[in-house]
Parts: sequence; structure tokens; C-alpha cells
Amino acid sequence: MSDLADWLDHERALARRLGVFATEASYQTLTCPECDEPRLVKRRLDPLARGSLQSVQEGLIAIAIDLDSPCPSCDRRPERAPDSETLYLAFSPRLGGHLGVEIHVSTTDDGRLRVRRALWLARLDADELEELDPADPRLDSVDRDAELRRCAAQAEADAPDDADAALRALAELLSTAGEDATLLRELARLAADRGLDAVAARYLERALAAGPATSAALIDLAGLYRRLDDDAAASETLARAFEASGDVDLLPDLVVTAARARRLGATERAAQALQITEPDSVVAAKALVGTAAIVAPLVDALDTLERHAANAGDLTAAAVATHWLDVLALPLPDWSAAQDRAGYLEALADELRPCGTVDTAPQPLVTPAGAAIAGDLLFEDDTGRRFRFFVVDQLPTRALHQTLAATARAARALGDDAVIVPLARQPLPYATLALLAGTPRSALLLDADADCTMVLADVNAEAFADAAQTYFGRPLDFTTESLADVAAILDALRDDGVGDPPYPLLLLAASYVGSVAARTLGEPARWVDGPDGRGAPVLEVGDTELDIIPAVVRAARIDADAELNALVQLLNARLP
Amino acid sequence: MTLSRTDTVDAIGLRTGWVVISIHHFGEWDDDTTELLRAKIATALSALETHAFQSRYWWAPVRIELESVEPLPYEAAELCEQLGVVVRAD
Repeated sequence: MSDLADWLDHERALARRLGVFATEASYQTLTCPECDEPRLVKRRLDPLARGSLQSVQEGLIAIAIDLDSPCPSCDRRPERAPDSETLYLAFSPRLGGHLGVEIHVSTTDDGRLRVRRALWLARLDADELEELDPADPRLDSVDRDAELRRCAAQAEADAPDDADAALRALAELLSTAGEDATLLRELARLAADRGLDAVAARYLERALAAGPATSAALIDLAGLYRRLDDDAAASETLARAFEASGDVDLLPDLVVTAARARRLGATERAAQALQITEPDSVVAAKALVGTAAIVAPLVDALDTLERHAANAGDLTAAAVATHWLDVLALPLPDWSAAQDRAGYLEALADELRPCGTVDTAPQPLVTPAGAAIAGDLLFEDDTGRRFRFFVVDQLPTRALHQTLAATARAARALGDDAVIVPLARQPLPYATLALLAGTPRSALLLDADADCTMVLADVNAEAFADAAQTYFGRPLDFTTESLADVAAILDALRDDGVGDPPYPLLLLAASYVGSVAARTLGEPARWVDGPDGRGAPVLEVGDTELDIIPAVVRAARIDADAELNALVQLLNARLP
Repeated sequence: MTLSRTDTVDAIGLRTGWVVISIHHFGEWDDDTTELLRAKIATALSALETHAFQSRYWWAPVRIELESVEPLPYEAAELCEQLGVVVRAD
């Protein structure tokens, strides 16, 4: 078949672009016996995809001799089967590539149908097509895969409302089948559909160990790791998927997961690769800010961010960059590898002294709870601008981020106008710099407060609605439609994936989402302890428990639309 | 509580406005102990991300403290410095 290679190339390219390899489809070229118009038909037929090799071939022949479908050109039904060539493509992990089932149907002079068949293998790691003998033992695995898929479908069909039953049925099958990659993937899919992310991840890990590591499976696994808040594993897995597929569409997620995992080298490589395909990428610029050391490299990275963010209309990011460029215009020394913290502090004081007043024992800021945080050096320049420097010689951990946030909050509460400047030997994450940049967004992040016990969830919800109006110009009316606005707000807080909204702000959002859920279902609702008593509270509405807080946290970290749409679907399903 | 339980932190509490995550070690130090300390600090940092911690202490500056009876070997001291862990001699 002359077009076979082209079709396979097309299918592979499509699979790579979409990140999936489950591309069961048939392509048919035929010439209408009535009008002689040639045409190409592509169909995706699930029943075929779930069938054995024999049933696939029978299905293809049925398609080929179909006399019921009118010709789209002349709109007439053919009186005899058109001569046709049909190719069925299925991705087979066990075969390591696409299996092509080719069926030629022609009509002999005496009016009889002649059918010829051929089987092709297009391995992912080979350019050449391999024709397979129908007796090739490798083909047994195709029937085996079909059998497993049928079992999975049957288990779901037998107990449509009991995903656990389907899981149990397949797990039993696993005990006899051994480490079967197809079966493990089906189990992972069922577990993920059920919201059992950790279980799904374990099954998928085992599937990847038992069979070829396809980029689709690696992407799925990386997604599960992200939902499980394991950014390091997500970053490493997504990097493997990128290596396997070379798909540049993965680069933004690769940048974000590496940045969140604080894998600086990986972040830098991914961001630079992204900048090749998207020179103005704002997410790459934000991530690169988080990999740049003081002073000169950070100035370069901020300069790039300022330009790209302004071009993209990301005014908050542009303001963050402008703020820090302004601070870094002070005479600040680079931090040499040989210099310890005390040495750098001394060098900093020496550089600043000619430009203003330096206080190396500043009065501390005192938080409302009594924590005294002084910083290392207070500088006032000749124009009266004040800067409180923190010289940091540790890795930028979550503890450091929270301490700097508490410091900034104390300064706001005390009306202290000194700019808080952490000067760190190791690059600080973009989220930390954004929090301290003095923008309206950082004011929102710092001022957010919530009743974290969720006893006053209604008050939280009203506070979120106020903040939505004040900071984002989005009035919220407590309908499910308003959740689209909540998603947009969470997206803004997500800051292209590198943002780190404070927890009380997320609880305000969760309270609002909970209020919407309760009003939509029209039943009494209350926040109660989670199932294990240690996790986040859940919203009890009638006899339904909604796990809203983790969903909002994921929405603000991974994908707001997906999480909130899933909740809306869940609510709609519960409506009478 | 000792470093052998790396899956939990030993104590979390408020002290003069700071939330202090405590790690205790009462024994000798060797290479294995330092690795246990690394895992324990990772647990402490992970604890910061949980609902239980954030819902109570999101507003507070944070300090992780290691209380050790014996002086720390170089590797352990270096690790603490890198991760901002304050070492207290008992």
C-alpha cells in the first residue's frame, strides 16, 4: 500500500502532538463505483479497538463492503462494494509501536469479492516497516491486550456505580496475569477516575516497569505526582516523557514542575529550551528569575522578565521585575564562593555606606504574636528610601518563605516602610520575590486572613467575594456560573504555575466554593473533620461529603479550570 | 522521640511568636545518623505544607531546631547550615 508509510507518519505525529498513543483508528481509501470519485475515510471505532485481531479484520471487511453509506460526492448508495484499501492502526505497548492491519477488497470480473490481508509493524524505535507473518507469536500479545481491555470494560459495565468492584475484579485478574503492563495501566486508569491518585501512581509505576515507557504513560504519571504534591517526581517523570517524545508542547509544564521542585539546572535547561520555541515566554522568564544568583545574573533575568511580561500584558509580573530592578540598582556586591555570610554582610555595608546611612543592628520588627525579626542591615539612602536587608546563606526552603512573609506582614502592620530585601547566596523562587515586591497583588497575598477552622466559613466566603471584587474586578454571586470567575482568580494566583498563594487565601476560596456547592444542592451544609481526622475538613452536604479544600489547593497549583469543572459536574450529578 | 523516627517531627510549638519545629537527638553521631537527620529535616519541611500546619501557623515565622546532646560532626553541621536549621546544644 503506497500511502501506508505516510499514514503511519501522520498517525505518529498526531500521537506525539497529543501525547497519546492509544490511536486506534482505521483509514480507508476507496473509489465510488457510481461516480468514480476517490476518497479517504478515517474512523475511530472503539468496538474494533477492544477486539481481537480476528474481530478487527472481520470489522474492517464489513466496513469495506458496506453498501449502506451513501457516497458523499454523488450521494448515491453503491450497488456493489467499492474497491478499497483499509488500514487499521492500533498502538501496542507490547509490540513497542503501531500495528497496521491492512485489508484490500476488490471485485473480480465475475463479480466476486477478493480480500487480501497484510499485517505491518511500525516500531517507535525503527524507521522501516516490518511485515508480520499472521503466525508471528508476537501477535498473540495483541489478542491478550484486547482480552484485558474487554475484561476492564466488562468489569465497569457490570458495576457502573461501583468503581471499587471494577478495581477489585481487575486486581484479581492481576494476581493471575502477573505484572502485565496493559492490565496495570487499566487499573491505574480506573483508580485515577476514582480519585485514588496514590494508588493510580503505584499501578502506573508498575506498568512502566513491566512494559515500554511511552510518553503518554509518563505524562499521566507526572500528572498524578503533581496531584500528589510530589513536584520532584513529577519533574523527573515529565523530563523522561520529553526525552521520549521530543514534544515541545511539554516544555511549559516541564519548566513549571522543575521550578516548583527547585531543580535549578533542570529549570534552566527547560526554560532555555522553551525560549527557543517561544522567545517571549513569560513562564520561562519567571522560572529563570528563580534560578539567577545575585547580582548581575538576577538583573539580567529580571530585565528579560520585565520586557516579556509587559509585552504579554502580565502587569503584575512586570511590576515585580521593576521593583527588584530598582532595588538591585543599589550598589550591592556579588556574593563570591569564598565569602561566608559575615564576610558578605561586611562587604554589603562597605558598598552602601557612601550612599547613605547603614545600621548593622537595626531595631526589630515585632509581629502581633511577639516574634522579633530584625534583619541584618538597615539602609537609608540620601533620598530617604529605607531598605531592610536579610543576608541569607541557606537554601530557600518553605520555612524561609514563610518567615519572610511574616516579616513583610509585620512591617505592613507596623507601618514600617522599609523595603524588605532578602539577599540570598542561592537563588530565591520567583514566588518569594513576587510576595515582597510591594505590588497590589502582594498586598492581597500578605493581607489575606481566614478562619482556618472553617467554623466561620460563611464569613470566609464573603471575604473572598469582597477580594474578588476589589482585586480582580470580578463580582461573585454564589452561583455555579461564578466558579468560572473563581477559576480565573486562582489562575492569576497560580502565576503561570510558579505562584505560591498563602494558605488562608486558599481557604477563603474553598469557603466560597463550599457556599456555592451548598446553595446549588439546596441542602444544609457544614464543614466537618476529614475521614482520618488529620487532613483538611470536608463539606458535608446532606449525605454527600465534598473534599473541596484539596481541590482548591490543586486548582491554585495545577489547573483551576479542570478542578472546578470537575466539581460542577459532581454537583450537577447530585442534583435531582 | 529520636532521629530513628524519620517520618514524624518530634514537636511543633510556639515560642516567643515563632513556630518552632523541634528535632531531638540524644545519642552519638555517625554517617547513618546524618542521613537520618537529612530525612528528618525533609519531613519537617514537608510538614510545613500540610493542612494541619498551615491552618494553625500560616502567619508565623518558622524555625527548625535540632537539639543534640553530642556535638555535631562536620557533615551534619553543614547540612543544618544549608537548610537553615538552628542547632541547640543541650
